[in-house]
Amino acid sequence: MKKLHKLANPGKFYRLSEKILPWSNLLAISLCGLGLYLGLFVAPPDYQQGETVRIIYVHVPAATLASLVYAIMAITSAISFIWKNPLGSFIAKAAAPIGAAFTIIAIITGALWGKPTWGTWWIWDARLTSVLILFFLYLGYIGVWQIFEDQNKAAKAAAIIALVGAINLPIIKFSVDWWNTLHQGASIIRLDGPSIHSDILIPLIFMWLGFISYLISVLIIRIQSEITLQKIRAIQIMISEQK
Amino acid sequence: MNEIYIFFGMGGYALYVWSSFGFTLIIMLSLLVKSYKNNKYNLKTYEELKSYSKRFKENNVKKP
Repeated sequence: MKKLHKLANPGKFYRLSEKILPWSNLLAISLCGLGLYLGLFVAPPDYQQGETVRIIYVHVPAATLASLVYAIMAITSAISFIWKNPLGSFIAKAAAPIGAAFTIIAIITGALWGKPTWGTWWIWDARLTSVLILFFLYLGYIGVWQIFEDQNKAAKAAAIIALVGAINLPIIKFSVDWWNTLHQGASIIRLDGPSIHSDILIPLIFMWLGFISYLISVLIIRIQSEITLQKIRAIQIMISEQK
Repeated sequence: MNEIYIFFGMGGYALYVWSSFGFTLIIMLSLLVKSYKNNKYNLKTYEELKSYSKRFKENNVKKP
């Protein structure tokens, strides 16, 4: 708990993150490189989907992380809200554009897969609709930070959106079970083990870990940026008070 | 030559497969570059403000 408290100090976090960054950069490049090599050159085409199955190597990591980033945002917002710790809201604010990027990647690559496989770019089914709502939640969250001039008020309003919007997460996850959707059910994390062949699963795992490393890298850069911005504000206030 | 043609042809689905990878790459790279540049810009602004406020304080002290 004491360690956690130390980490919650922006200055300490900044120094620790400087040490993690080169490693996460290296991991992101090497894991995505390996995943792409295995996925594009080694893995065979699917017997039903043919070559379009390769789209899952970017679609699945992006789609799962789209939800994961929102969960991180909701948790850090709640922590920041309850314990009045600024680092929590920096993390949430820094994470939102990354989550929005993953969500739009999931939607676009899903459409590019859907057209040749389902015969349609888009359908208003439960999974696709709930992910589109996730994208709008991200946009709303990012927008709130820009609407309010008072950053404390913005942090509160943004935290409320992050927490209320978290209701959408279980809807996304279970949409394929609760409703009769065109989107397939879970095929990787299942009680009876993955239902896809290891030739396709292994490159997918590498891509997924690579995307996570990318997420860590960009998140660190963005949180550092937020911490610096906060220091800039503090100096600006100090100068204006002395004038 | 033929192998390269087959690889990029993606069984007739080249447009869908390569658009997916291309779109993902563009979005992820542009977010990375934007975040990196923003961070550098903020750090520069901070250093400038810090030296400005230092001079500002000194000037204030000198003025009796």
